[in-house]
Amino acid sequence: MKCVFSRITAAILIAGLVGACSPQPDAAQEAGSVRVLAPLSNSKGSYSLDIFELKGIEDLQTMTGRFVRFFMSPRIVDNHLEGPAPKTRFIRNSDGDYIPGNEMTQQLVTLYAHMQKLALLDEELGAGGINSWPRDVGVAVRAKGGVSNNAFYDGATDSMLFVPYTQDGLPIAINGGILAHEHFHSLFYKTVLNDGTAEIHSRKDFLNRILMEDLSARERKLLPVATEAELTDEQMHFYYHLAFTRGLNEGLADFWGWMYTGDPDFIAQSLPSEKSFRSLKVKDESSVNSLPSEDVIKRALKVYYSTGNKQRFVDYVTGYAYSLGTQFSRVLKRYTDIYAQAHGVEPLIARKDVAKVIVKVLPQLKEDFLAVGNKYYASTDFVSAVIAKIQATQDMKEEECQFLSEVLNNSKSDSSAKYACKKDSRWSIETVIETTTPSANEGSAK
Amino acid sequence: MKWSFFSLIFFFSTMGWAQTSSSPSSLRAYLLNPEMRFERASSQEMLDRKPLNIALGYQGQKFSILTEYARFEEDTGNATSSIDRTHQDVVVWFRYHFFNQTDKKTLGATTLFAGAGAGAYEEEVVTTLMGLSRTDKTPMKFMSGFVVGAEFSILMNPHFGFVIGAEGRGLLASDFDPNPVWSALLRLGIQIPL
Repeated sequence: MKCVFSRITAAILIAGLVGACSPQPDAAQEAGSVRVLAPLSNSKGSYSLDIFELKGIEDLQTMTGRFVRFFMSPRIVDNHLEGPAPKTRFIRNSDGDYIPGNEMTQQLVTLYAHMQKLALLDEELGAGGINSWPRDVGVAVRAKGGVSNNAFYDGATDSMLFVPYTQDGLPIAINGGILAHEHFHSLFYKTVLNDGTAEIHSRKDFLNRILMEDLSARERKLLPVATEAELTDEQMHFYYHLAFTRGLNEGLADFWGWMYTGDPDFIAQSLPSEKSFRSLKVKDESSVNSLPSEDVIKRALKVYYSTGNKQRFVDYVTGYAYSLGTQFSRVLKRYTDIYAQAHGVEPLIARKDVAKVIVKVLPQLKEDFLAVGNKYYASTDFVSAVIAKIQATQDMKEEECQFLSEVLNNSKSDSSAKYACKKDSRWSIETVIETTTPSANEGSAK
Repeated sequence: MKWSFFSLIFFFSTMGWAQTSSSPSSLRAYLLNPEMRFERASSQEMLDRKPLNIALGYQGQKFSILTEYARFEEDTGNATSSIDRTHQDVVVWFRYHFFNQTDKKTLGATTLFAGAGAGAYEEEVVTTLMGLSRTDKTPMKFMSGFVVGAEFSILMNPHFGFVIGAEGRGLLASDFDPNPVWSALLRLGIQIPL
């Protein structure tokens, strides 16, 4: 029997030795450019399985490369992600292409492909150099409370984080529109909010976002129960700009997702329940001609505050920001459609042209926010900034001018001012101060 | 490199470890082989695959040769985007029986063995996105393995008997994760003495 045990021991030792010297997978030897199968969105808003060439790969086994560094279920330590790199599983087909062998690998490959494309797009749109590469991306993130079906950009760690997706739609990690949306947040964070005090898409905000549908229901239920509570001037100023900045960030990010994919319902591909709130497509396009005015936002905040519960009020502000954002994204989409028609360019070119304008507007936004003082930054200020950048780069066509002046007129709080298109050597929008006595209705609205 | 190690295993297994044996040669068919094969899943956790596993073999007094077929699938994703991977392999095992004992009254035989195997595997991946699918396949690729185990067989009559066994194996191939993939296997089969 002693002899038997010694032989078993010898066999186990040999097995260990064999294991230590076992062959390396093909993926371990791949670096540089690698052809992989990935579900990618084309510019016309649909998805297909395509062979895509990943560039700058340093280790295909962990999908590490020039554009992305992945972390599996990371922790956040000292404002950076910590955790192991996920391991990929591929098969290599007869053409030498790498085919993801499981869902996680497919998500890593697709994320890498989109980040590679977004890096090139940044350069093309004039946003190159804002982000540093490789980007840190956390997958299978375990959030408190078992949060699922979401992604967010975390400014503190400068990373994108993806929690598990449990629905039956397009997984968020392979939804190019949502990736572009989150990518835009990194541009906005660094060009507009990089003073470190802003809380756009903070982790708390992220959790609030998850609850948005419930919040909407509660909002409808609780609004009639108003109290006497009123916001102080300081509170109004703070929450107004909190809602406005978040709304603008979300709206521009939604525009970015559409610009990248061409799909006005890119969010609904993964989160169908968000379709009615977040779609950039509306039945009656001509109804998209206004942004929330200063008065409208203030009124909404007053009503929300009157529910008397501060935590609920903060939740409402978060939910309201998304509602504001959708109005910004829809107006920008309609402007892009009008721009494409007026200039006779392809939709993709038009989307990129408008995105270039937005990239130029971002630093201006930062300056305007810093200089706002006790005043209120209004939607008309944003539209004016956009118009200034458009005029700085090219001639505005009449259709663009008419639409933008209509948006300005429908979004202003000052009833005495009116915006009108005027053509001298080129189309421009001028402000006309109306000297007529305000009507009784206008007076009461104020 | 891999061949040198399997040569080593084979060398050890032919060093005359065998005990005296009185069990006859037989053909064996293992038709019910519940297996647990531990590999890294999409979730990155080590999960046990449960392959369909069948084997046919010849057992001599000191050695046996076994041809084994195994197949399992891993399906990940959801209704919109999914990946179905199918793994199939055929391995020929060379097993040296270093301990054999037969009870002449009951005709039950117990054996301990160690061995090595070599074979080929292929993997097929069906990728589905929004109802459209494509299928990709690897060419046949080399795999190998090593095994230790025990078997008990009993003859019901001079022409027929049952076999039950348990094995621990390590399976090696370039794309296995981990490499080797560890596996535990129960064998239930029949024997036909020659």
